Formats: sequence, structure tokens, C-alpha cells
Amino acid sequence: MTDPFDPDALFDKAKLFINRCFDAHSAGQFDAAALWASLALEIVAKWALATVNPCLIADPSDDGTSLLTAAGLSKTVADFKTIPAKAAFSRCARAFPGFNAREAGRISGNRNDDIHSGALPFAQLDEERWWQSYWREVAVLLSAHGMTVSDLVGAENAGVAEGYITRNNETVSLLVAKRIEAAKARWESRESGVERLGGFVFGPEYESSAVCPACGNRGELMGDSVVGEQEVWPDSLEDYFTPFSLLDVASHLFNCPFCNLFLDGPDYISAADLPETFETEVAIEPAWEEYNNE
Amino acid sequence: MSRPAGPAIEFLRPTLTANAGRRSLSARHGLGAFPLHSDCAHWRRPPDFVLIQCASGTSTTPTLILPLVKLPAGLESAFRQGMFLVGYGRRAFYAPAMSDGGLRFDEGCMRPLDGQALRVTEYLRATSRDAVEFHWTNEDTVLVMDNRRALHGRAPVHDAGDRRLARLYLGVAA
Repeated sequence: MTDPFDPDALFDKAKLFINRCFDAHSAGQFDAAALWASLALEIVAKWALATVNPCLIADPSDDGTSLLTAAGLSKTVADFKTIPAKAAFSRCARAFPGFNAREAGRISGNRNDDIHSGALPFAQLDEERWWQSYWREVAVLLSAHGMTVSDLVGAENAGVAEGYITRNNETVSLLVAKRIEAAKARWESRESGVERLGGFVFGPEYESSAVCPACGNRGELMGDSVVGEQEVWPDSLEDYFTPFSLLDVASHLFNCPFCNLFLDGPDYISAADLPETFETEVAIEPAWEEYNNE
Repeated sequence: MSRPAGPAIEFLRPTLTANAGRRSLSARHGLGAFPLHSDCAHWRRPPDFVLIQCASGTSTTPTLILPLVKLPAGLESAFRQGMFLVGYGRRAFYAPAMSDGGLRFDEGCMRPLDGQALRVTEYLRATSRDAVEFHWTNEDTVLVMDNRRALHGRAPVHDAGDRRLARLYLGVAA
């Protein structure tokens, strides 16, 4: 039996879904193409995780059945269940810097609305923009494993997908420039005495600050994905017992509480020339009390 | 290489549908023409070479061979990208017609699932007329076919005669 967590099997299935997407795309059927594409995105996300370790897509809530199967310790393949798309996207966002779980969630939300209700979610979308955003997310997952969209869609359709990615970069640059311009105008025309036009954001685990490209104040730079870590044990005697971890975190979100500029997504951060990673310190709890050399 | 629990060398005779194994080509085509295919296309890794020796008798029924050393222009991508459902039931899997540098095609156990796979299928059906004939006119004749670069089939059997072919699969270690 084909292992449902086998990365090659997942990739072949993603290819099939993408082929069907292009069949519909070339027939001018956006809704069918987008439906197949959204199904493929979930499979590509699971492929990206399973390539690292199949346990990453195993449902952890079935008393270990799926985890044991993915680990090769049980052969109950028929009972294997994978994690939901939302969990897969969330894990991908942490594991593969640049992947935007919120955007992926929007794409799979369209799919869920389409197959679970009488709504026509795809009829309300800007097709060009949808594809731009879609192919960007797919490209990030593929590139995490040294692959390109051509490896997934084949040479025949690679140009179409790559075209969307190029136009996505152009669109994002334009959108970011407009947002910065609007935020700047807001800030400059604020009433006297107003110190802040926006609030603070909570969500991502790590935070630093960066100069806001619109108003020049310091805004919040946030992210969840740790791309590097270094333990620091200070040299001085008084600080030696307060070690910390110096983390490199991929920037995922920028929020300026002053002019209310808000940029969500690594591509938006990059287009605004904000740092793509930031450093932050996290205290290490020394394990002195656990050490008991009696 | 051999089929699971099967002998390394198998002996083949023209067989009527009624007498054939359930999922064999004879079950579907009897003494009619066997469409062009690669052997054991439903295996994860089909054999690289097929050796056939005329073990006894001779025959007027030729084996048909279609070499595909180079993929047809305009269809290279479809051969590598178009997905087929290969095999049956729990052992089924998806695969393109060309992967790992080798060909896999058999309409008996592969179903095209998208437009590109369909184009590959239509192309291979259409080019079957270009297949060359190999005649079993002498006993002990040996035919060696590259199973990953050529398809083969059988012309319709008009005179079954006493032909008995011995077949052996060979795989090249990766």
C-alpha cells in the first residue's frame, strides 16, 4: 500500500492536482482551477513537512496511532490520519521562513467555503491577484527543499506559474509603497497632541523593533520562525549567572503604533526594505537548582 | 527479477481469454493483438530489460517493438508530468509515463488522470503503427528489449502453432 505520509507519494499527488488545475485554467474555468490548486497547496505543505520528517504530518490526537505509523513503528497504515490543513500551514510558517500561513489559510478558506456550502467564493475573487499570491506560497515551500515551481508543474506550465510570481513581487512592491505613502500622510496630518494613531499587536512569539519606513518612529517587528540561535554566557562575574539565547528570527510582521502602518507577510517586509531577520534575546533558565551532586 | 512468488523464468504461449490469468493481457485480448506496453508497468520499479527466448517451436506471430529513445518534441514535459493511476486497489500509486529516466506505459494497468497523461496515451496509441516486427522464425532465437526505452506488443495470433517463449526480467542495480 502507498504510504500516505511518503513524501514522494505526496509530491506525485500534488503534481496530479496541479495538472488538473492547469487543465481547468487553460479551459478558462477559474473556480475549478482554484479548487484543484487549493487542494494541491495543502498536499505541498504536507510534502514539505513530511520531507523533513513524516511525523510532522501525523495526527497527534489518536493515541499515537498515526505517529507510530509515520515513525515506522506500526504498520497500521489504513488508520493513519494527517493533521488538518491549518496545522500544516502553521507548522510550515514556523519551519520555512517566508511562508505566509495567513495567506495559505485564506486560500484553503476559499476551498472550504466552496465544498462545504452553497457559497461561490471563487466568483468574488480577483483571479490574477489570487494566482499571484497562490504561486508565491507554493514557491516558498518548494524552495525550502531546493526545488522550483518547474519541478511541480512541469516545463510546459512553468512559465505561467513563474509569471504570476514575478507579477506578485511587482504587485506587493506597489501595495507596500501605497501603504507607506498613506501612513506617512496620516501621520503628517494627525491632529496636534495625538501621539499615536495605532495600537500594539499581539500574536507572534518574538519581537524587536525597526525604524518605520513611513513615519521614522520605531515600530514592532515580529515573527515566530527562529532561524538561528546562540547561547551567550556573559564574561562578567555579576552577569555570568544570567545567560541568554540570542535568537535570529525571520521577520513576518511589522506594525507601527505611531502611524499605524501594518505589513503582514515576509514579502511585504522585504518590499518595505525592513530587515528580513531580527535578533532578540531570550533568558535561559539555568538548571542550577536541578543539579544536586549529593 | 520476478513476479512476487513467481519463477524467474516464465513460459508464454498464446492463450485464449477463457484460459488466461485474471489480470493478464491474454484475459483482455485473448489471441488478439496485445497493445504496446512496457512489462510490469505496475511495479514500483519496472524491470530494465526483458529477455525472451524462443524455447520451442516457431511462429508466424511477430512481436511488435516501438523504440522511444527520444521523447517526441512537444510532449517531453507531458511524458514527465502527466499523471497515471498505476495498478489496482491498495497497491495503486500515481506515476508519469517517464520517471527515473525510464518509460512506464501499459493501458492494461495505467489510467490517464489529467490532460497531459491523456495526450501521452493518445500519442502512444497513434504511434503504435510505427512499431517494427520481430519474427520468431528460428528456435533458440533470443530477443533482448530495453523495457524502459521501448514498448512492445504482439500482433494478432492467426496460427498459434507450437510456439513457446521463455521470458526473464533483468534489473540494473541503481
